[in-house]
Amino acid sequence: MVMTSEVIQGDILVVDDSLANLELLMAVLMDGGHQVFTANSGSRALDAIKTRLPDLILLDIGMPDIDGYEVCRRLKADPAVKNIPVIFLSAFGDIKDKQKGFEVGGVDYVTKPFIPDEVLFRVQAHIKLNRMRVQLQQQTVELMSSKGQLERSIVELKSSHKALVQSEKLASLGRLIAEIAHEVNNPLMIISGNAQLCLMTEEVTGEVKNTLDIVVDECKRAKGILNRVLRFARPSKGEIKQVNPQLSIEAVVGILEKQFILNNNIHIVRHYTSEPCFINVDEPQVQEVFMNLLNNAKEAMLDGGTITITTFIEGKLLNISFADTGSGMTEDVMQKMFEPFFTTKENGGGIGLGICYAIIKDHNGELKFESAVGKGTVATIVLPVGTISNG
Amino acid sequence: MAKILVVDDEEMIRKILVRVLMKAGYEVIQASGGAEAIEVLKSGVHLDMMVTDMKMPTVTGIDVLKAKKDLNDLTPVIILTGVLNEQQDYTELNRLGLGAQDILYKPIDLLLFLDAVKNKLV
Repeated sequence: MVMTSEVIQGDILVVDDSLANLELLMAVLMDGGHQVFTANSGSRALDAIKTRLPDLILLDIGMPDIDGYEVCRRLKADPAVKNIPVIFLSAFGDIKDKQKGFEVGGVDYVTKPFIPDEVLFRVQAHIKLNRMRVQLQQQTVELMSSKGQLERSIVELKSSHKALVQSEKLASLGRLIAEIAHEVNNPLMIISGNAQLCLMTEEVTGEVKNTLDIVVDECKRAKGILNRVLRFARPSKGEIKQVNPQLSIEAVVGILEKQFILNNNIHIVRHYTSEPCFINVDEPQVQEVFMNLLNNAKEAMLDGGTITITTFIEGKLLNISFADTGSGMTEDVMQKMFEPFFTTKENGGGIGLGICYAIIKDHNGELKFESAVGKGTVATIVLPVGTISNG
Repeated sequence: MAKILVVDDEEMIRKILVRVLMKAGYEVIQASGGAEAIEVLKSGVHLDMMVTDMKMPTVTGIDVLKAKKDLNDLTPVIILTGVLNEQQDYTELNRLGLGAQDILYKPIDLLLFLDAVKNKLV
C-alpha cells in the first residue's frame, strides 16, 4: 500500500513493570524510528507525562502499584493528556479484559507475547490516526472562526444593502419630488396669476375679493411647501468649515434650553468628550439637524423629562447622541421615519428627519436611531473627525 | 411706451403676464419658446426689456441668454422661474456672464412683478 511508504515516527512512552519487556519494546520501537521513554510502574508513568507529552502510550495492565486500567482512567480524566492514544499490552487475553481496556479509554489492545511488527504497525496506525484527529480539530476551529466571520460579513452586508436601498430610494424620491415641484409651479402660477388679475379689476369687492385673496394666499403657501420639499430633495451643501462640535451644539441648545425648561419641564444633561476635536461641516445645516433632533426629543416627552447629550470619539468617528426619556417609537414608526412626508403629528410637516438624514449623509456620516416604547429614543449622529489642514 | 418681450412656453402664463403688463401700459411681444425668443432678438426689433422663463423644452432660458449675449444685446432681463435654489441660480448665471437684472420665483406676486419691471427699465 502507498501508506506504508510513509514513515510515521513519534515519541512513545512505554509502561511495564518488567525490565525485559521494556527493553524489548524499546528496541522494537527504536528500530521503527520512534523515540522512546519508559516508566516501570503506574505512578511513574503518571509522573513522566507531567514533563514530557508523548504521541502514544504503550501501557501494561498487570502492575503492582496502580494497574494499567487505573492509569488509563486517570490519563483520560486529565484534559491535558486525555487525547494521547493508549494501547494496552497485556498477557490477559480474555475478551473481558480487552473490553475493559476499551471501556477505560484505550484505543487498542495487544496480547503478550506480541509480534514486534504488529506492535509497530498498530503504534504507527494510532499515531497517524491521532495526528489526523488533531488536524481535524484545528480545521474545525478554523472553520468555526471562518463561519463566525462569514456570519458577521453577512450581517454587515445585509445592513449595508439596507442602507443602500434606503439611500437609493431616497435619491430617486428626491429626483421625483424635484420634478413634481417644478411641474406644479406652472399651474400654481396660473391659478395665482389669474386670481391676482381678477383682484386688479375694480368690480371685484367683498365676498369675491376675500375668496380670491384666499386663492392667492394658498398658492403662496403651496409655494412654501414646494420650497421646503425641494430643500429635502437636494440639500445644498454650503461652505464647509472646521467646527468645534461642542460649541456648535451649545449654540443650538442655548436657543432652546430656557424654553424647554419653562414650557416643557425638560432638562438637558451634557456629557461632552474631553478630547479636543473638530468636524468639517456646513455648520448651519448640521445645526439644523441638532435642532430637529432636540425638537423631536421634546415632542416625545409631553410630561417633561431629560435630554442627555453625549459626544465621544471612536476611532476616527465622532458620535453625538441625543437621548430622551420620552415615549419611544414602535418598529413601524422606526421603519418609516425617514420617508418624506411621514409624520406622527397631526400638523407635522413630516420632512424633518428626511432632511436630517440627507444632510448627515451628505457629510459622509450616519444618522441612527435606537428606541424602546415607553423608555425613550436615542438619536446618534456619527461624523468623521476632521484632520488638521494647513490654513 | 416701453416694449417688453415675454418668453414662456406655457400659454396661460404668457396670457397673465401680457394682460398685467398691458394693463400697466406696456407694449408686449410674446414668444412661446426659446427659439422664437432668439428670432425676435435677432430681428433687431427694439426692446426695452425681456421677461423669460428658464425651464423650457428644446431651447431653454439659459440658451436664450447666451444667444442674447452673443448678439451683444444689452436689454435688461427679468427671469421668472420655478422653485430653484436661489444662490445656485445666481452663481450659475454670473459664472456664465449672463447675470439678469432680477429673478422672480413663480408663482409671482403680480404687483411686485410690475414694480420690478418699472425699476429695471433703463
